[in-house]
Amino acid sequence: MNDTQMKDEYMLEIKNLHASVAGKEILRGINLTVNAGEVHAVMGPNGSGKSTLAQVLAGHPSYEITEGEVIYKGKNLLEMPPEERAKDGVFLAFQYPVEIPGVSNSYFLKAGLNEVRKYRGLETLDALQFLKLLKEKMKIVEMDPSFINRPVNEGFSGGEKKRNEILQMAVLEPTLAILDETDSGLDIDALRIVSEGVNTLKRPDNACIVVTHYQRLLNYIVPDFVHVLVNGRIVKSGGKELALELEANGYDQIKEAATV
Amino acid sequence: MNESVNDIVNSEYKYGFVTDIESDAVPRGLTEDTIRLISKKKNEPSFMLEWRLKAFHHWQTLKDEPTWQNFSYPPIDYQNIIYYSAPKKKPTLNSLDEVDKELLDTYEKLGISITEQKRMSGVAVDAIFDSVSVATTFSEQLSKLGIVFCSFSEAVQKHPELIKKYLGSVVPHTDNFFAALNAAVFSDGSFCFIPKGVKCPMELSTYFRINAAETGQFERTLIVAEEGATVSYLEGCTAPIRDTNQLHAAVVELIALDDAQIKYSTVQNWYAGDKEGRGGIYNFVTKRGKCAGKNSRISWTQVETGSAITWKYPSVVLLGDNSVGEFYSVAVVNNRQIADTGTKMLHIGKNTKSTIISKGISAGRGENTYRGLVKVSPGASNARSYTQCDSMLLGNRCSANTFPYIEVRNNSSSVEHEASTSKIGEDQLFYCKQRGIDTENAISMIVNGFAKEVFKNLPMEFAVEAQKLLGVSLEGSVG
Amino acid sequence: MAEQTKTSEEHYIASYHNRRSNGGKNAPEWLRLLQDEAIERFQSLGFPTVKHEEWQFTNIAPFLKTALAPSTPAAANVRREILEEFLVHSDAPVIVLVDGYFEEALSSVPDSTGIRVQRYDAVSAQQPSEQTLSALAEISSASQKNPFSALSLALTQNVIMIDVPEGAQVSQPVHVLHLSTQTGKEAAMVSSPTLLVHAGKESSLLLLEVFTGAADADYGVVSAAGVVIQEGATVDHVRVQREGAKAFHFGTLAVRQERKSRYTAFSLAMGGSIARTDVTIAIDGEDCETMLDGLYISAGEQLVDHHTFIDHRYPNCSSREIFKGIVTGKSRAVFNGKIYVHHEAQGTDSKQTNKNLLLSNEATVDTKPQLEIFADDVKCTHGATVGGLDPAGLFYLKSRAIDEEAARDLLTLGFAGEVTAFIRDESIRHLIDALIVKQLQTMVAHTALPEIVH
Repeated sequence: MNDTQMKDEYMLEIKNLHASVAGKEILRGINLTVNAGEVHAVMGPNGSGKSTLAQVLAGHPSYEITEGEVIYKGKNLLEMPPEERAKDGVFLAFQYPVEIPGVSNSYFLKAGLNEVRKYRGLETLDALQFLKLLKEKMKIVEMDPSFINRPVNEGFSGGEKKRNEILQMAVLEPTLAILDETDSGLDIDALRIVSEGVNTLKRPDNACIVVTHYQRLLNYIVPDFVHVLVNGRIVKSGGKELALELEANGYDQIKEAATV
Repeated sequence: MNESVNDIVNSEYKYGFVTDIESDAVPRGLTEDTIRLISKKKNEPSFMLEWRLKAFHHWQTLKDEPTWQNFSYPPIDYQNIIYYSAPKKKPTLNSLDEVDKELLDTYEKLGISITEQKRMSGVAVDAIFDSVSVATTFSEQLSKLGIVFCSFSEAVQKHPELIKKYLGSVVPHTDNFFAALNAAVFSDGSFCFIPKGVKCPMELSTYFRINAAETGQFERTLIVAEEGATVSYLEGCTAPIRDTNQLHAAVVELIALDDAQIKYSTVQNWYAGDKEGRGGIYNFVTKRGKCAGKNSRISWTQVETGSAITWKYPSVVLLGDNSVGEFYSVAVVNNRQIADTGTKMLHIGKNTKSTIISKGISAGRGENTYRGLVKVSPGASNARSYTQCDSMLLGNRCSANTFPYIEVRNNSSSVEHEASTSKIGEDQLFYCKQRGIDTENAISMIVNGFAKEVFKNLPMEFAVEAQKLLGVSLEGSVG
Repeated sequence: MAEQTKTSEEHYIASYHNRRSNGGKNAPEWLRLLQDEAIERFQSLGFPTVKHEEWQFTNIAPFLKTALAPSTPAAANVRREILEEFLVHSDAPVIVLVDGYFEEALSSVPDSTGIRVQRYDAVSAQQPSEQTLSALAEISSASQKNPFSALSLALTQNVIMIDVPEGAQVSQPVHVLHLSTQTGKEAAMVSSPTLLVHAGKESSLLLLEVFTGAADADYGVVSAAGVVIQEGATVDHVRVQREGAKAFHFGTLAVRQERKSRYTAFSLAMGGSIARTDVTIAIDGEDCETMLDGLYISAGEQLVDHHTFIDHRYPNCSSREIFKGIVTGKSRAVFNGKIYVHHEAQGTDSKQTNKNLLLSNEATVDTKPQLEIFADDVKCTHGATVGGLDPAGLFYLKSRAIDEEAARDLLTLGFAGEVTAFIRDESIRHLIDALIVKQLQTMVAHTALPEIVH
């Protein structure tokens, strides 16, 4: 990224973002820009604020923004309620997908999709159209059709929940997808399926932020940029080779460097 | 839900209109003369008048209304109620052409199909306007099968022997304060009789509407299913918006003989009063079914979203061996509404079974109480009873109470009760929002999911109506 | 006799005033004032009838028919051997009350135990400590609604106070034994012991409280205990109620927990013809933990009734309650467990379970678990079951060559064992298990029983 790029060409621009939860500051000045077509990996040790960053971008009400701004497609993202952000293409694949008893997966997703389509000025889909779409998308994540009628995430295994997240992403076709530790708790097969799903959905006009603790996922989803988050700040940015470096040396070196 | 809790503008009660219809009412107040007058207006045989008077005299001895409930209400002045109000232009039964246009329009507004062209919907309807039945559809067709489906008044005229035999046989006039009052003054209601071996080919439905001001509504429903008969019956209720409370004290009696099945579904949406709790219906109802025969089954399903106060316990007396009682309930309270509802399952016969599923949803300043009794008598060998009772709280000013009473006197029986309380999780709401679903829809979706086990017991058409109702009655509860 | 024309209330009120005017044996002035208040409260409440919601299954008419006289100090010395059965080990610290009177000769609490024991009665007329008054206040508060709590306070012969100083860790189980010695021929008497416990900040106490009496004597115990647990303190409280078969037992237990405190209680109830226990736990601070467990065993024509009330007034507290019952003969067991979660008590996590094993077709169980919830961010569940022995379990055991009788015993003990397993102190747990086996043995007269335990 160079200075000649116009500011409003960024898809996402995070400037000096500070956020805290229950009075405790977690993010202490994040700066990050993301362009369409890019994949950014945000890595860092436990407690560094990675998941907070993901949640804050999606508008989780538990976090208080104390300073800074986030511009998304030229709009002030922080002023938008969470559902507005979702309709405008921000998608968060949850680290811990939530269970909603009694509400079927298909009903839930259809409600979401039709809201998104209305926002984008598209016709809403009826049940049949939606089912057709859903079945297509389910192939991407190799999901069993029986999941359609099961309650949202209820009784799903860890891997099934994560696949369900990617399925939702495939259906909602976000502009900016944020994957929060999507690799945690996945076995190697599930990891492959989830990653392939993400790669299939990659397009020149969308972008992806992959939040992860381990380099492992980045073997499957190759990032254009890697950022290392320590103690609520990005302390180092680089290309995909940075992830390998972290894998070899661990976070300690960087942590030390950061505290100096 | 901390700062995300904001009151949103409340949606208006959809059925709050008043129909301007001339009515024929008896003078305000209650004396023996009132009862004689009601009985006379209805041209009742003498056994009915005697029965009413007996109930009235008993009621007079009852000094006080019950006090064990989990709420209080201002004293009801029983002398300030109009006990009988009927639309003046009475239609000839079975001929809808003569029904007052205003009345038909009212039912159109309510979405009730009592006009001929809507016959295709396959639901036979008895419409009760204020105190009297105004129209019953499909009577003719049903009568070919020997099924009697008509207003109570008509049944008294045409089938006095059945009325004599079954009236008060499940809920005697001595049962409780309001049952005694109802027995004395009830003005109309529905009557269904399904003869031996007949499976009723369509849903039977009664639609109750209170229109006139300051009237009480006291209707009585009696359903008898003879040996091997089956019937599914639906009732719906609405009332106009008025700023004074109106009393609705109905009695429902169900009788199932050997191998008979009765399914009784209610969607109760009486006017609930305004946000501050002004006005609304006092819905004090006695509903009880008797599984008199072996292998019989009675199933109550209720969706209670309306009324200022709902106070009722649809119950089943499991007399016949192998009989089954079921109770599925969703009760929603918002604003200042109160519900104290549940069921009684009285196991008397051998191998009797009961299932109770209750879902209470509290919002605003609503108070929701589940109260239930499961009683297993010494002779009820191998009785089985299961209760699942879940409450959901929306916001922090409402309450949810669970008072199950379990009394077991047979050691080969098994009674289980489980209850839980939960809220709509902040994480659930956020998850929905992150998928583009706004707060109201998310709440409606989550609440409907919570109540799904009950909805699936409702007939299809009713289930759809009930789900919408649930969404509407919770609008404005959480923002 | 004039007695005949008096109501039961009048009888006890007269007894109170008799003793009051009978100068010499009077309690200290401050206590007498409290008692005057208590008798007035009793007078205004009166004895309950089955029309009271809280007493609808417990008809106390047999108690009302027996006009009990306040107990007098026992004439004969009680042999220590009687107590042995209830001692975890022979040199455990022990406080003995005979017919409600402190028995110095049988009691011994060495200084090394780490607690201070105070007594307030005619013999030792000292001024109450602040701790004493705060524990007494709990009983007073219970007596606002419960006439038996009021009566107990009014008639009490002795107030015994266990004061655990701040930071003290009392690992030895402290025994409090309530013994009723009045035998059949003498006038039936009622004793009203009052036990107070105050656990200072960050202290811990292990308490074993036992009520027992002569097997065939008519007598009554109307007792009350007030417990205050200060910040960060822990009290483990095991109660055994094995009154004689003809006895009346009306017990009040009122506990108040301050923040970060922990109260673990286990109650074993198996005696008395009518035995009713009212437990109130007021959670009076954040981050408290409460575990209230119990087992009741009833036979013959016994009536065993537990009413418990856990009052969640502060945020982020947890409570767990498991009560089980083994109900046989023509007996009746009543359980009423109320959990109340106040508007302020967000983050409450409360779970209540009541399971009843009906071993006879003439026995009755009435159970009424109640949840009253006024806060939305809570996790509350309750469950209740009533049933006979599981036929599948019986069949399974029989298929493994265990005969019917032994299989039934095994399942019954297993049922009891699920709840006694929660008793943390091993020696007390063994004591309780042994008492249960003994009780079941007398009830079912199965000799095989002891062998299949453990």
